[in-house]
Amino acid sequence: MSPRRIGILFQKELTDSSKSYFLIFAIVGPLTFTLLVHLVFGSFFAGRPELGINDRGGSIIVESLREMNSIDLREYSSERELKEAVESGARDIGIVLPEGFDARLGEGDSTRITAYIWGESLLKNRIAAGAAFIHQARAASGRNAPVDIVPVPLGEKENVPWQDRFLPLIVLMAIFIAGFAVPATSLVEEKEKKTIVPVLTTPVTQSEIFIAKGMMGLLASVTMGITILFLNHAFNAQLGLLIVLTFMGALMACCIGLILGALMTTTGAIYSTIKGMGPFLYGPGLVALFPRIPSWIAKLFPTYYVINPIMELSRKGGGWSTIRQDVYILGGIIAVFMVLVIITGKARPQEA
Amino acid sequence: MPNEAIRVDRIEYSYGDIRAVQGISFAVGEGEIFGFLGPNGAGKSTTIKMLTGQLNPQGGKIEVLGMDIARNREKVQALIGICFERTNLYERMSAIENLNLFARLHGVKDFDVTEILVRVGLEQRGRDRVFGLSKGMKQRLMVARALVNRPSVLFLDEPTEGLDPASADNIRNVIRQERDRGATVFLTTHDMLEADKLSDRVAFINDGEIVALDTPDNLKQKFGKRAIRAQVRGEEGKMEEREIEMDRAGTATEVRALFDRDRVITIHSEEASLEDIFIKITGRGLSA
Repeated sequence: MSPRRIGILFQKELTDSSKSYFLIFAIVGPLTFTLLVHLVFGSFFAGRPELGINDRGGSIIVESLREMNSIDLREYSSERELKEAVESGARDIGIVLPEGFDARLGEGDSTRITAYIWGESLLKNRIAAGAAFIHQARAASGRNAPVDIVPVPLGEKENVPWQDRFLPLIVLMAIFIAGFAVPATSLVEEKEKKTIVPVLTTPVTQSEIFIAKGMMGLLASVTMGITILFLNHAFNAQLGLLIVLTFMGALMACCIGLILGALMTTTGAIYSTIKGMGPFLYGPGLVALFPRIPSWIAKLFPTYYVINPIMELSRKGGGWSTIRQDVYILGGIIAVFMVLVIITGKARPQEA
Repeated sequence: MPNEAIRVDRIEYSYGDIRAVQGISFAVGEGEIFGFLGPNGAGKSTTIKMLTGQLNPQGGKIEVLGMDIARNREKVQALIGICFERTNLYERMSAIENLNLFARLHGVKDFDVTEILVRVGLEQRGRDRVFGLSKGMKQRLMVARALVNRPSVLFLDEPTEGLDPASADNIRNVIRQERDRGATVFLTTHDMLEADKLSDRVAFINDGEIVALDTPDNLKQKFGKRAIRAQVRGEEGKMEEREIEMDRAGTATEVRALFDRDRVITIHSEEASLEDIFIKITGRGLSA
């Protein structure tokens, strides 16, 4: 095995694969998905904040809120109805105004009110509705209203905003589309177009070709993984560990890609396989979208041991002690895949 | 024969039940152009794959440049050049990038890409992406790629098939230049005319077996019929054809009688083509 030849082949991959459809898709796909999620679940298409009020004392604030175009206000006759509306997601936030609220405001007394919050509502909607209420309270009292809001979260048991739910899927896509599809399609394309044959009639060995293609997938995968984590503000103090985990995920993706690339002979077959493997690769990301699905199901997928430690570190503030077990399992999975790469790589591709 | 560049000893290869190559043996001398001829499916490509280390023979032994290719594949491949039947260039890369890549993989340090492009007439198209080149240009580039490591043995698999006359002629000139440089050329083709023009010796392969092997002249003498063919204007002014077989006792008398009796319009000698000989030996044509 010659590092010089591997370097030459890797350089060729950079020149040739950089123009391939799949590499472009591997870059554009997750970036577009990130953008879409931010648009759809961030500010775009989100609509007006939905505020519910149960007014027990005929407050003038309600009238003022009703006139605000930036707020979608609905009144409820009882606290029970208001609570139900918030719990079902019909309202982002529900406020109970006690009897004599206006009078206490006018006297400058500290007032304690209950605000029911739908767990899945966007943070910006909660803030906007709350700010509108405080603004009207101040306007009514003519001073800084000493209102103490007590938040009561309602709704799904797992109150995870949609942006956070999508993050595992997007990170898996970023790591695996590039890491898995780039070496797989590149290898199959070379076999289909027979370009691998003249390379193998130089002193180059098949192992050298595999390593060069794996390196290309690894580079693309790690770059995309880190980029997507960065764009989603998922980097924190555990930067080094996050990069190591991204690298391990990329290595696993490349191994799967090389195995498939060695076994398949046509691009049609590899495209079908890539599509078919979606649930296998992105299963944990799909499970994360729906918190009601039991989380143990995600553990059945090998990619769980890539994404779970990344999410533990980036979203839940975990450290090495919390991810250690997953990382050991991931190391074992990678070792198995690497053995499979060596076995499948021994079959000479031009005889396939 | 000068020193042997290739020695093949009873090699065999089967695809399942189909015996593609059935125990063939031959040797090719250094600096020789060796034509390996046969129709499609005769076993030419399988043989060339075994000779170049792409396939391992299922029986027999191959030595290239004195080395057993089964044990010294990498060493042999560093010293040979191969031009494949089917275009297999990196289409998204330019002609120059393709040639430089293979020169670097062979470890050639003083590679002059311009010189090699000039030799195959592609000096104006070097920076063009391969997908934009014509079939003839691609084929010439394939030949150029086979030359990047100045090979001692050059394997060419149907190098001029389907090409325009100018491209084919360019490739034939390169083959002759390589022979003059001292390289051995192993040429597979089903174009008998090309083989006749280029080859020092030819082997006919049919159904995986070599059925004849000699110089084109010797084969023609051995299997062909020599004749004189004339167009004459007969007594009633009609054009007629006359054929006189050569190498017989009465040939001279018959030629004299031809001129005495008829008005000869055209006359020429005729010898068997390699294709005629192949048909005579195998009972089948080359395009089959």
